Amino acid sequence: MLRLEPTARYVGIVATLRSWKGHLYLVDAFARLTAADATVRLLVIGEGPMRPAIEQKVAELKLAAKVTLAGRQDAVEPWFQAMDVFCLPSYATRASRRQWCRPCSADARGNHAGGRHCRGRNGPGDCAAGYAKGSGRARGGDRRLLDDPALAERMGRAARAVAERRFSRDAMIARMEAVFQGVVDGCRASRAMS
Amino acid sequence: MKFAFIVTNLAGGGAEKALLTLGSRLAGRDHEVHLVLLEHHVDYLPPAEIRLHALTQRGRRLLKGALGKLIAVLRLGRLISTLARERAFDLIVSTLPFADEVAVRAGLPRHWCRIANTLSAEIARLHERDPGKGRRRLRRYRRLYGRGL
Repeated sequence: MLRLEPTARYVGIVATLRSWKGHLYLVDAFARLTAADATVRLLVIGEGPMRPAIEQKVAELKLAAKVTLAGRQDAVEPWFQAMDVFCLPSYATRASRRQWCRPCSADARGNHAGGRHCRGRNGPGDCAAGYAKGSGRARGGDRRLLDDPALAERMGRAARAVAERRFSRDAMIARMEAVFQGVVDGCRASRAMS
Repeated sequence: MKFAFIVTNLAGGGAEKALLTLGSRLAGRDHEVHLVLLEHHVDYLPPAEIRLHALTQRGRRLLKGALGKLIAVLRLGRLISTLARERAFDLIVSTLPFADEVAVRAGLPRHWCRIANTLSAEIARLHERDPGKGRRRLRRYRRLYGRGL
């Protein structure tokens, strides 16, 4: 049981509580959202060293009654399902790609190994649920989705279709396995040549 | 294939959780998966199919600073040699900068770093607040990951 209010609408984040995840931006944005709409609530799932700073900001903005810091959760799926809008205002996972790099060499390379987050066609600014850096943009994105249920529904369905096609666990593991196999084969080939 | 994944600890981050999922699924596909923690701090219990190793005793943290790093480098090199005695690792993957640095300094064979964050964003952010610290971080990452960054 998540003990949430059935009539409230929830904006949420699932991330370790670290500065680069942007929780403080989100709390700022949420303060402006909730000033215009008293039914909105904020869910913060995760634990980490930024908790005191987030709690302090929530208290300063007098949002304690509307913000739930649920801590670390082993099963995050029900929390995701409870959110009307998911927001990740992180500045450290700006690109939807995981980078790999062989140490001590100049051949840094990137592999698309699976970004999890919805990105708009025109980049982050196009996607209300995507990477909204700064509280103003985060608020704008959240507002758009909360005000336009059809847009939220459309984006949600599109994101789900992409996720099912490309980011199921089996699909991601198969791609990772292929990446690893490619690296191992490449190492063997270069050893054989030398 | 035989994999070793190296991470500082399992103290509740997304990268650590992702590593456990990855390791578990690879083990389910008949790969041999070892997970090496630089310190035995475990918030996420690893699944049984992953072989867990730690460079410190249960609940003990690494020493801070250069000495702690040096001890970790020596212990990691020894542990990987022991684990590879019967059969070498096909791939050793470290993740997050501290574990990357220790693994690089240990000179492990077939080692790759998995870069989980957008380093340029981190450096730009640091540079805004403290340009000297931003430059030092960039130099550290270039030393670690190559000048292509």
